[in-house]
Amino acid sequence: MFVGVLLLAWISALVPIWAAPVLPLEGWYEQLALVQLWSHLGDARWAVERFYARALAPVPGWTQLGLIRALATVLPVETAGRAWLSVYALALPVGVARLADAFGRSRWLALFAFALVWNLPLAVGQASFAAGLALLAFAVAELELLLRRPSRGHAVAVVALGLLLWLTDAGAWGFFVLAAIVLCATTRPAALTLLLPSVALALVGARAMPSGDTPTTWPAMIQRLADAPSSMVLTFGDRAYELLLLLGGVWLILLLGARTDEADTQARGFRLEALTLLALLLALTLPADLHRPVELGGAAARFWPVVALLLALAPHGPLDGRRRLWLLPVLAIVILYPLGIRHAAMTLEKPLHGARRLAELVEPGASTLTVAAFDPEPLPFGPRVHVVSQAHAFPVLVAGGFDPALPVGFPLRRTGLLPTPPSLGALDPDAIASWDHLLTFGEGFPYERLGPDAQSRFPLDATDGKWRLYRRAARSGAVQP
Amino acid sequence: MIRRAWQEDRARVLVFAALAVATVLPLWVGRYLPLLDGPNHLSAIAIWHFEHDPRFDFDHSYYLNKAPLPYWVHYYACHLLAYLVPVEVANKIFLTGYALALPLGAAALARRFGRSPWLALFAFPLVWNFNLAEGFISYCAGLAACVWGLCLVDRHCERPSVTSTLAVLGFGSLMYFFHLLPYMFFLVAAGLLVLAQDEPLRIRRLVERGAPVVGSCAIGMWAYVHERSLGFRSISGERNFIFDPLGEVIAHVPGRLLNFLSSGRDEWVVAVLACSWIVLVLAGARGRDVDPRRPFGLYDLRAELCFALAVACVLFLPRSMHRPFNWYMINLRFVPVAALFGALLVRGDFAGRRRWLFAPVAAAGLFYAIDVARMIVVFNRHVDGFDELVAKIPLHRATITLAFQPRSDPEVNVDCFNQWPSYTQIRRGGYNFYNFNYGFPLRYKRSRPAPLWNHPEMFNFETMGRAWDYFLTHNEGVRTSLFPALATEGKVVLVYESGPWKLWQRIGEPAPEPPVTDVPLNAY
Repeated sequence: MFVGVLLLAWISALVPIWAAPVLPLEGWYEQLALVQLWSHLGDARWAVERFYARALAPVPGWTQLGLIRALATVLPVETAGRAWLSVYALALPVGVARLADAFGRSRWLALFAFALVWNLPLAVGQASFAAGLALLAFAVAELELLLRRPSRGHAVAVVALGLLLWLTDAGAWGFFVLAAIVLCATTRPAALTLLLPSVALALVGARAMPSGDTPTTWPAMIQRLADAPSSMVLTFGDRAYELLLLLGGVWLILLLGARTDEADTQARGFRLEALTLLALLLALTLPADLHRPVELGGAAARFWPVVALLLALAPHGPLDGRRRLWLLPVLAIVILYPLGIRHAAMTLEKPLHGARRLAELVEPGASTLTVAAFDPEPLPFGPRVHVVSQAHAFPVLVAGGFDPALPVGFPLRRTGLLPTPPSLGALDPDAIASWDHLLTFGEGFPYERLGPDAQSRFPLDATDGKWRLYRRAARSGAVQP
Repeated sequence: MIRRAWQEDRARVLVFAALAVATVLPLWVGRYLPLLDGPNHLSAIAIWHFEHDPRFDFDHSYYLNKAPLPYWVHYYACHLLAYLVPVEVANKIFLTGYALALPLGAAALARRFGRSPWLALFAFPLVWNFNLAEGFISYCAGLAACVWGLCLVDRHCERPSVTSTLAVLGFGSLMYFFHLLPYMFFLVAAGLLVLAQDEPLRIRRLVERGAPVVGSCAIGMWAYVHERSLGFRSISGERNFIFDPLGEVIAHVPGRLLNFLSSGRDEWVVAVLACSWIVLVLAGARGRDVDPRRPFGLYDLRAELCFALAVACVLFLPRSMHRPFNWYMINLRFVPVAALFGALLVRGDFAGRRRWLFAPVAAAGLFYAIDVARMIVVFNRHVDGFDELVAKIPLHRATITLAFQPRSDPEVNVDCFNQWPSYTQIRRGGYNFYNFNYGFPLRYKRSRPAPLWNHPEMFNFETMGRAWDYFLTHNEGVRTSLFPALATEGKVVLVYESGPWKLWQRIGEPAPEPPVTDVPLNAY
């Protein structure tokens, strides 16, 4: 029955993944564009090598971009991305169920994890961290099982998952290391040696990762607490807060209604609670963004979903008989919430439809400069998720070319670039002469940015809604190294 | 009650005593308490108490309205105590009563609800909650009274008698005279307790248990019907409530709990208390394995019902009201209430070594109380000089106190100098432009020109200066400088200066007393 319920919730979680024309995930299409370029290295028509080369160091991101790249050999890249998200949407609750088993909790509590599939790190471009959450659950579970009943299989799993975690996300891997210290310290300290391979890999990989010198900011404690709820789930309007309140209420009932034997045999101490405390300390003490030794954006806030996942498993005691009925509202929420996300995501279609359609007109290998004015239309996903600004990735997804806004480092590094004007307000046609296309959004009238004299050099190719595509009349394609 | 507790668990009495001393300590370590609305409540009490005292001339400037309105308990209790001690000390005695009543009431309520009295340790840090920082003294005292009132109601429901009926009726009616919000919360929570008893809908039992609770509504209903004759400022027109989006309400919850101190240490106290609470819940679950389980009824959920009510108040009440009268911060005042009842949700027996699970709670409470005491000591150093300065103002002279920006103190999260002019009035009497002008307990008899409290920089000497003899300024020169230029022009002279305080005297004839006039109540 548990498997059936899990599948039902998973099917609902798939709805926004597959039914929403545009996914409400910041940075998602930029990441897909990177995979697309990676897939087309060596393709003469795309000539990606003009601007990019492989940069395949042992750094975080492999589990996301590498897997999508592998799937993209048989699927279109956007479909591959959705398939990856589908696997993630199942892996997270299954991992939490495994974690529940390992720490003597009811696996039914893993239903709460479906609400956290759509978490804020995923929504703001940290999909790797979201995947890291799923792997983290498996890794910690395997470690706990190893400590309780040492076996070669568990040991191999811990080593493998540790390596995989580093190749997924540095924050998730870091938490795993700290969690391992906490768990092993009082049972089998020698088990910490199983982390050495991943530590070695991390030391090698960290050298290839950028670090910044931006001043570190430390949010006030009160601000951290105030931001905690919105840091957990993908927010759109008040829906997410209603969801948190309802889930919190059910969780509280389960927590307060727990009954166990005198020794609390299943839970065996407060080991899981210690990990929760660890996650809470990280959320309350880390800086807003970590710049050294590696760049880790949203360092503190990304641990709130970890706190939420671990807290979800806090209730001790079995969930059987009538007590299990309390999970009905949870099931209802985890089924309806993704449907709500999908419904809200439909509103993203309108502002981006034009960009996607015009991008189809770009020929392979052409470079498109995208200039999008701020769209005052309020989107439903709160102030932290910006989707329209990703429109520059659509021409790259279709045709490749150079894009100054793509986040390079892994799996590609830049080898050449096109001159990009420092200001994208009024554009000088001479300054953008190397670009094949100009894609604009929000112009009051045609040639508002280029000026009326640019008509012969950048004729208007097509219009769709507020989007306009200009095509350079003659190719020069001067590439700067 | 204390003797029984001593016989039951000496450790608990000792821990409670230590925390009680620590919690009360901040009230007495410094003269001035950085409570935002606090000074204005003090001046209202002073005017009430010294209405006809010729030293202070209050009756020259104010009418008193002693209509039966909320805040009576606070004001009248301090008025009575002021016959023995100064007004500020009387207020501190009242606050001491509140600081002890809240945790003791929580212990009594925990016992009534079948929970461990140790859970009342969570109530000690809640004494110094953000509502108190904002100077909502009557509200906080009403909350403490509400807890005791619910104990009375529950006891009455268990064994109704004539005495208990009268006690509930009397105490419930008294709740109205604390503050409307705890009064209404008490009525609803008491109603829930009545309905949570065994056989709640049997007519006889319902009448026995519910009658005094319903009777307690009478005073509120009477006041609602006669609101115009009570003299409290109400604004005609359609009712106007302001609701915040749910996300904003939730985001503001942490800031309304403790958050007294400008540092993050009080938030760490909240984190420690929350973690301790979870550990207690988990530990409390042990040994409660019951097979077969006994039937579970509403009676076992009385604490949960009160908690749910408090949470509902936070989520569904408006943030503010503009009509029929201006009422600031309604829903989020219930955050500490929810926390208080939330603490009582923990089930399980905590005896023997299990009591050590409360060690972090006690430590957090002690740390927080001592930190608040430290803050008050430092705050009093920051206001050093005010006493000497005020002593130089002669009696019977019109004095205006202007608190310039920054009106906050580095140690505190509220703008505690907003209403500081009231302290000048308490010492030297006379007229204060910045009293609460809602019709209770005072109404202005005369008016002198002055800038709004939040714009002292708008003080215009030409149009306002002649109405005053003395000008006491705080933080003048930090961001705004007015009087040095006037001194250069020979219009004022600096009498005394100490720290952030300056006392200026107008050069010229004493300010005339303005005529008696019908001064309108504040309109919002």
